[in-house]
Amino acid sequence: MKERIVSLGILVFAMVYTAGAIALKVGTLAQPGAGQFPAAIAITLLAISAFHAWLTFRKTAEKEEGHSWTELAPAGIAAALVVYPILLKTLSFLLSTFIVLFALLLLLKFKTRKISFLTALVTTILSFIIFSGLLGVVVPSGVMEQFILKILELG
Amino acid sequence: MDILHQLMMGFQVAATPINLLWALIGAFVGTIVGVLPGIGPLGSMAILLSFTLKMDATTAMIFFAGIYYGAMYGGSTTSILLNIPGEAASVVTCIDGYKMAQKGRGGAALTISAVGSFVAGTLSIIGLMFAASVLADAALKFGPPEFFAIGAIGLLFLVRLSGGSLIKNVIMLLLGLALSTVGTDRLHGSARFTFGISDLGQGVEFLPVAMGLFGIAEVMLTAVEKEDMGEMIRIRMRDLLPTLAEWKRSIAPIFRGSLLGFFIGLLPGPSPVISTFVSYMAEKKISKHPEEFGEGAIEGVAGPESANNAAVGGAYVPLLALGVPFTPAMAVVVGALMLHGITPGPMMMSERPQLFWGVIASMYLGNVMLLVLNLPMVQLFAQITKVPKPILLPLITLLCLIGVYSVNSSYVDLYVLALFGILGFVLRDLGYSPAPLVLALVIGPMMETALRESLMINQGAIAPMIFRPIAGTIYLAAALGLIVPAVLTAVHRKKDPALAA
Repeated sequence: MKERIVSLGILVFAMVYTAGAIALKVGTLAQPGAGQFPAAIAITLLAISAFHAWLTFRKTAEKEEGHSWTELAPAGIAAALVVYPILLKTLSFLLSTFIVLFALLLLLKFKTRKISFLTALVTTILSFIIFSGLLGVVVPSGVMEQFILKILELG
Repeated sequence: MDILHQLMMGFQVAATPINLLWALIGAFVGTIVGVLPGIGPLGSMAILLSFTLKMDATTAMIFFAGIYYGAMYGGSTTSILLNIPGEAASVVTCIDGYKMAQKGRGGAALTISAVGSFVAGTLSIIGLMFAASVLADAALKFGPPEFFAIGAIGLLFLVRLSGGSLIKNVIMLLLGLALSTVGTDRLHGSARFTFGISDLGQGVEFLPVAMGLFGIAEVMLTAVEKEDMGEMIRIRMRDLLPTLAEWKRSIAPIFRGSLLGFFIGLLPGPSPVISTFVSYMAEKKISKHPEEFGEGAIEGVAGPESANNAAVGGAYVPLLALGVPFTPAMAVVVGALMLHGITPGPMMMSERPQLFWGVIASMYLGNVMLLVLNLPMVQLFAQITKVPKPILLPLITLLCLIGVYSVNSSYVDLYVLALFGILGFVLRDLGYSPAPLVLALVIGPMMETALRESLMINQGAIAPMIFRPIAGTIYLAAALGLIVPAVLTAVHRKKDPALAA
């Protein structure tokens, strides 16, 4: 089932990509346009992904191999990845990083809640000091970030 | 003589305190990465890319080289002591290494592995030095048709050698090429597949894609895997000394492994991994005691461990001489060079000799550091495998997130990371190898530009693109490389029906 879903997903992508590639100017062999290379890839991808999808549907259903995609740990990590940029945009670096890290530690059952909280707190502050203070990476900052940078400057 | 002079200059660059320090840190981090199952040299190099932003380009390259060959050293430790390969290139070492450890010869296996890695590493750097110089000189005569030929043939070999399902590898390759067309067209300046998102104008960034497919996907896969750690075999310092007989039996496999590894390293694909299997099979075939293989034969450790280190040197040749990465790890190195405004290629050797020769000289020094670092600290490195997953995985995820954001301060890059992390988990779970996609994404733009320029130069005629002396030789060599093994296999199958079954 998983194989069939993925092969269909790739086929749909190939169709959409082909539509987009054909819409670009293909040009001639002597004067290739912006769409020539994408069109060549699109047609090949469409043919191969259609053949692959046909193979997966022709095969009799076997016992599913691999992991379950709905297990809590990978689903939680996926959710954290999607949520992080949204939080980073609205809450600034320290708070968003702390929330995501604390959630991941709880999700993966790292010792007690108290230890997870402290670990997330210390790691977040340390990562801010390393990336922003030492490496000079510009991260979304609020009052707390400015406060830490001030302390670092005084130090 | 000129090469020796340049190498001396390289040693002056590599021996500065800052470069020595980063070579040591790289070797140390690489060893840890090699020891830890799950996160490989590629993932760690991608994660640490942001750390190189403030470094000089030469220092960044020295740091990455240290990580890459450090990982090859470290991978053997857990294979021998715990029967757990730290990374894919150490799988073969488990077979005889762990058996030796069970028989009380684990220390000897570790020493032979470290010495073999050192010898192979040093020999492959000599090979890299000469091969890259010759190839870079030759590449100055290359035009667009030759660069297209190298890209196309490289990807073809990659698909063939990546292992697993051929059709899945082809699909991943085409997906990578499709992604490489996103962004502003280089020749006409028109936007392609950007959907009005200005951040996509520069194309899909390689870093979040690689970190998603290798780093995040690995974290998600590790999170669902059951822990199955064997009993660690303890080693005392005095156990580290091999017997005279073990030394004698190891010398030839070390040299054979070095030679095989270097040449396999030149090929596209997971060359360090392939080299270990080829070396193991070769040693078993020519051994006077093939029955000992699988039961603790020292040759089964010496050959493969030398081969995977030599393959690292080989993998650097196409990158440094042609600017074409043939392994995903080399693609990260290209990413790091690009971040510093350097486009790798045949001109790099003449335009930036300090970088080219500094990196090569640092590899010699790094190999000595690894030999000194690894043996006395072997027990400590083995303990690193005990770091619990519930703390390790969130930290790697955090490093990926901050690492990706820090390069361009882009939220789009974070979404790309999330997308490819999730896709990587799903695809890798079903046996799709991410390497063809990542390499096609990097090589794709070069191939497209080369193809279109070739067509324009030849007014649309395809034959003159193929039948040029250099391009024609590349196609012919590739055809022989792909067809001859297939024909030989078919002939063997016909002779021996058992093989066909």
